[in-house]
Amino acid sequence: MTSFGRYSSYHTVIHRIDCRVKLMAMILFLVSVFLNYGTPWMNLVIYGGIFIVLLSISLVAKASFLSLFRSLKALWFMIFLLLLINVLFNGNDNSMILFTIPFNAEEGTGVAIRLGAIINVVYIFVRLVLVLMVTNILTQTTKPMELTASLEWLFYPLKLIHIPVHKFAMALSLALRFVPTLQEQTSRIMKAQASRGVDYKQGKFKEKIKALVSLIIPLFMSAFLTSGELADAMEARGYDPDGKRTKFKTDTWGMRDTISVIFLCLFTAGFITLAVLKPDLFAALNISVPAL
Amino acid sequence: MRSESKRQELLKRDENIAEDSAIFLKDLSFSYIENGPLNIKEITLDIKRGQSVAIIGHNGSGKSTLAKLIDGILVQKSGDIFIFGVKMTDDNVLLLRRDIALVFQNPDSQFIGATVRDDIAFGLENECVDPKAMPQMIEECAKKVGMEEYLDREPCNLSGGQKQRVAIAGAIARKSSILILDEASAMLDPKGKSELRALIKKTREENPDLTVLNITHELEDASVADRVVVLNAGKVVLDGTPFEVFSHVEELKGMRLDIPFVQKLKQSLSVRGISLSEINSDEDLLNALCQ
Amino acid sequence: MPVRLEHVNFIYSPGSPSQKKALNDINLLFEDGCFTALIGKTGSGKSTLIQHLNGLLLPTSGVVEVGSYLIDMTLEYKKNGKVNTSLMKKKHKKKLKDVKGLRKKVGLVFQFPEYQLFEETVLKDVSYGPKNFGASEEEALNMSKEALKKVGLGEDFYNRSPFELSGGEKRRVAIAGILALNPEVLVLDEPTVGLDAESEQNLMDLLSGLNNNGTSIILATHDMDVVLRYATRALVLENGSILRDETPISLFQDREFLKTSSLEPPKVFSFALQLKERGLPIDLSRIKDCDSLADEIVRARREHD
Repeated sequence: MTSFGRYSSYHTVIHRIDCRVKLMAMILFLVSVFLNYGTPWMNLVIYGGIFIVLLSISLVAKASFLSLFRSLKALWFMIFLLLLINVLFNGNDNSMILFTIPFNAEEGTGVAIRLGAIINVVYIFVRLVLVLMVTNILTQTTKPMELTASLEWLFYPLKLIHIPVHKFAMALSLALRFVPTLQEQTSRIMKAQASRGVDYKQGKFKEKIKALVSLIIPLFMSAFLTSGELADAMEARGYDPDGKRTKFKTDTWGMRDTISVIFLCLFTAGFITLAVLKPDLFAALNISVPAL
Repeated sequence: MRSESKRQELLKRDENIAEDSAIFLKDLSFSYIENGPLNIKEITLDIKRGQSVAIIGHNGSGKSTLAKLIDGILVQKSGDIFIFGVKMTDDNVLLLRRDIALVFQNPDSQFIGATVRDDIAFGLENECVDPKAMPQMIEECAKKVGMEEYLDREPCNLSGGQKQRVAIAGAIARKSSILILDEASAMLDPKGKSELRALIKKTREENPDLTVLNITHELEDASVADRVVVLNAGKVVLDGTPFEVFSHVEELKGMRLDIPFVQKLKQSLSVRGISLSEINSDEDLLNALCQ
Repeated sequence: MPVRLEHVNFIYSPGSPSQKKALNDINLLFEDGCFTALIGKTGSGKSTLIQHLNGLLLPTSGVVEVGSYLIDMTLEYKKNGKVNTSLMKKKHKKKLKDVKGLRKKVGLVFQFPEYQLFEETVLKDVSYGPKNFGASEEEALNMSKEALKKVGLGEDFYNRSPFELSGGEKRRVAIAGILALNPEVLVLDEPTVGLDAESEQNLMDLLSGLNNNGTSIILATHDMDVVLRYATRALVLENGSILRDETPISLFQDREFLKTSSLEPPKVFSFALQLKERGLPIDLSRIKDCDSLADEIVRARREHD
């Protein structure tokens, strides 16, 4: 069982696709999720289509997305909040009133629950789920380091306006590299302080603050020490942030990457066509649906 | 072509420096605090090409500072550093540094790549090596340090000794002519220490021109070096073969340094009236005592 | 205060793919006032074992008994499958509120303990431990001053920042932070790593002095010279099991074993052994360091003649 958003070390086809392709795919999927395809029914149909595509990719990639609903309890709260806000503050919504919650029956005032508000919330919810699914596939099948390298590639054009993309990318990959080191240091300091009678779980508020200080200060000290040593080591090995470097890459561009790119282009073209032409398939196929 | 001539200009040898000199320090002084006490005091030292030199001294004697000065990570207050006869300046420090590999004490904080493969590649990337040539170079170097099975391992799954071996592989990959070890084995367990020692011996045998500067606490490292330099309070106080240096027992003890076993036992014996001044190896001492 | 381990097993992250058995059926008794060395490669289970002695880790199964504290994972574990009811006061069999009491009795000094310093002054930092264990401000300061005295740091250090001290001094402050708790058992993980010869000597003399005053010392170390000179008992750990449990002298005489487990006997001891093999009647049990070897050589040569 993999947890949501964490890299899982399987070797599926999706894992092996070039990270840059995956990154582009993610962006294009995100765009397609936020395009408007005409009528609400058309939107829902296309979102359904995207959902099925993402679901099958998730299955192939062995990326669990069910954990999303389990682990993100805040999600439900957020949807409830969205519903509330949409219902209460949707001033120029002229859609059908579903029902009214009366505040004062005698005066006839109350809050009208309109269909438009409900549809809006459904949109937001569906889009949110799709967005999370897409990012989940990407992060579960791509090593953080590869992701960093791809981001550097993606933002390469920014170099033209003198934004040091490569430095940000290096900083990001170093931060990722030292996460386990910091974790280990944290657990070591916690144990050392516990041996001095620190109780991280019980105690008064003041004691807890002190306990936290006794963890954070040594942690910072050792992080500073590590970063100083790291900087020396990088310099000693000839790293020059402003100099030219080549880039070592282990994976080569393969057939599967080309095929993915072709698929990606087709999908994108399809979505854009649908979004621009906004064809109403329901009308064309003479399927009658209730007007929304 | 212009860049090539510029490069040659930057790497112009000083004719006054001996041909066979790898590292030449001339009246080198350094202080961590501006106008503060000197941490390195007017050191003059000539280290020859292919020599293996151990630098010993207790904590705070300036050993590590010296290593960082030679690599141009720290900048001296006064004096000059010559690498293969070329005077180090702000302009050529990056070029000169390509010839120097520096391995530090903490195995984890000098491991830069996400995997062993990436870490060896890091140094090559900095020198703009063609990425196509890298995989083979990396594999060869990993083989030389016995890490070819671990190329895809992440640093958190490696022992300290293995990480230091990767650091050596990085140095071999860069084809550096000078290898500086700044207490590289201090944080390792005995097994890691002896493996690192054996690896350095092997690397020296394979590259007889390699100049090794070993900054160390370990007497065993010092005793196998061609030359031992003792630092105290930022000054060179003793310089010679291990045999010569370790015969200054009282001075070494005065500087809070450990002395080799034979010397130590000889001293304990001489206090008890057994004088064995001419003996300098285990075997001789055994023979003398069992007569 | 004796420390007893009975059928102690420990598994890291059980049930996950990275599950690893770190301790395998450990049975040990550390007597009152012992000086025991724990020897083993990195990853042999030394650090895991040490953390069981003051309740930082609870055994997956088995019993750890320290004086009147009992961590019994045999009965409780089977009964309700939960870990938290495990620490019991032996007599009353009543659940203890916390493991703090145990941590005061068994002081644990981690490797590179200087990383645990955080207060503005040395004195404040050392007194943090005693205060955590309920000492008043004044008591804590007195205990800290005494502990600092033990590690050889005088009054001029009290108000200095621990961060501006040298490496060796920092370590002494950190060790004082544990000594200030007046533990009856002192457990140390590689306390001499990274120290120069003199600091190492001072630290070992300190431990030896504490031991003479009745504190039990349990020391994880790679330094065989230290084992020979100070320890009365040597435990060799490998893959989470106790491989050898004997006096250092008998351990260092077993060359076959040392070779297979890549342990290097102390130089002074192998030299003494060679002398003995060449006919000098050396009493190996008297060899601790160069001085005792020299004494023994003088004695043996006189006897020989």
